Amino acid sequence: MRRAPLSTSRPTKCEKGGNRAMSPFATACEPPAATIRVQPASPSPRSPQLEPVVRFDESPWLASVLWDLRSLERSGQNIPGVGDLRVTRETADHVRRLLTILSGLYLPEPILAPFSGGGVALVWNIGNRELTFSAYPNRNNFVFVRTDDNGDPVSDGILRLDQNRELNNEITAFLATPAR
Amino acid sequence: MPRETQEPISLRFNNPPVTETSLGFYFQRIEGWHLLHQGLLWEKFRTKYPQLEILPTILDPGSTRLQLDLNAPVLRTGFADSTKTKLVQIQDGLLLHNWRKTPEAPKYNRYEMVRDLLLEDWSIFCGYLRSASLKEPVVSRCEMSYFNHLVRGEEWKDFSDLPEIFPTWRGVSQPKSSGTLQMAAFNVAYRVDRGVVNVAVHPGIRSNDGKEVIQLTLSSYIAPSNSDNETLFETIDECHENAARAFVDFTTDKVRERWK
Repeated sequence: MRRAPLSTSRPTKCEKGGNRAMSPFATACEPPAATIRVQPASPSPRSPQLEPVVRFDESPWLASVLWDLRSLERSGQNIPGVGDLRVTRETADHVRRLLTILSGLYLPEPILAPFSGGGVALVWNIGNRELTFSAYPNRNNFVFVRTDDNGDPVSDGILRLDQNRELNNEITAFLATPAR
Repeated sequence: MPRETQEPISLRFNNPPVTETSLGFYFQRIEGWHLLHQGLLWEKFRTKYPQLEILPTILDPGSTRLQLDLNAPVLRTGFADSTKTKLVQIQDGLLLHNWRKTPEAPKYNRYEMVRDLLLEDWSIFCGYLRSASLKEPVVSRCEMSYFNHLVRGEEWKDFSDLPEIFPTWRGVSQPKSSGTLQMAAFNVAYRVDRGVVNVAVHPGIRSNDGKEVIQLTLSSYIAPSNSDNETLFETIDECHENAARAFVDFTTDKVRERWK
């Protein structure tokens, strides 16, 4: 049985204000305002450089997930027999922005799980391990929960889309083979 | 119809779907160029383009492979203006000027304006080469690209609407056994009098706002007969003309009416 996404989560160190008094060697939660940054821009000159677009064929499952998300926007249904769990265009856009970050990674196909109140969760499973990102209406962040191979939560919190490092850490931990 | 007999095309839209344009030159690698030149060159651009980005190196589509020379590594840099609406991409072998539309700066920069900006960038670049006693670039290709975004909920609702937008896409017959069209994309490349035109239609998600878009990319390139400025910019004009014609050929009257 699928767990409902956590509605309350412990704020992350970053959200508490974290490590803001920065020494030159401090690990910042937000990158300092630097002039130089390396970004994964498209390697093709015939791709937009300023207004990036993640193509539907970026991952084998993206078109299918977007199709389901569209169904949720229109009718509130992506599972036959389940009632109206419509999501707003804004919430769906928010989920799509997360997909632009995650679709290029080696993740399996996620399940789209709407829940009452207009929210929707993206759920990835590898065996019993699970990673869930839940989007709530009028919120510009995601509640995430990651479980181990026993299904026990090992990490949860709230992440914004600009917290690349933290997002990457969660994905890496989720994809890592557990120690035996 | 041969190009000489065609009238120049003139497209005027109040609300064009273009979100980004890119135009510029590919040239033979410059003898003596190295990474430090790229940093020194930025100083020449920095007043106008204060932000520096390190971009993945791109392979000139005209060459077969990228040769990695550890003594002279190739780096692509982007010099962006403070609004991030203009970008100059420079790599040993190319200089491209990009412009994009943003919610904060929605006014469309017409071709003539972007061309003028490229002319300025190119002049700065060539001036730097002269001051550093490097040779003038030998241009192998001029290229112009338009990136248009057709947003779901505005120009289309689902992929069955594609024939209403692209006359080349007549759809596919949909027997019940084959289900419903979930996604469609296509690429077309064709030769014109001089050069090649590429048309690409790909659905995607716009990273900045999560909107589903169909990205219509129109790209035209031509090998110039020589590398003097007049020839280069006449050739860029021709690329622009080809891309504009492709825009008309590959979109329906009905959808263009929306953008007027």
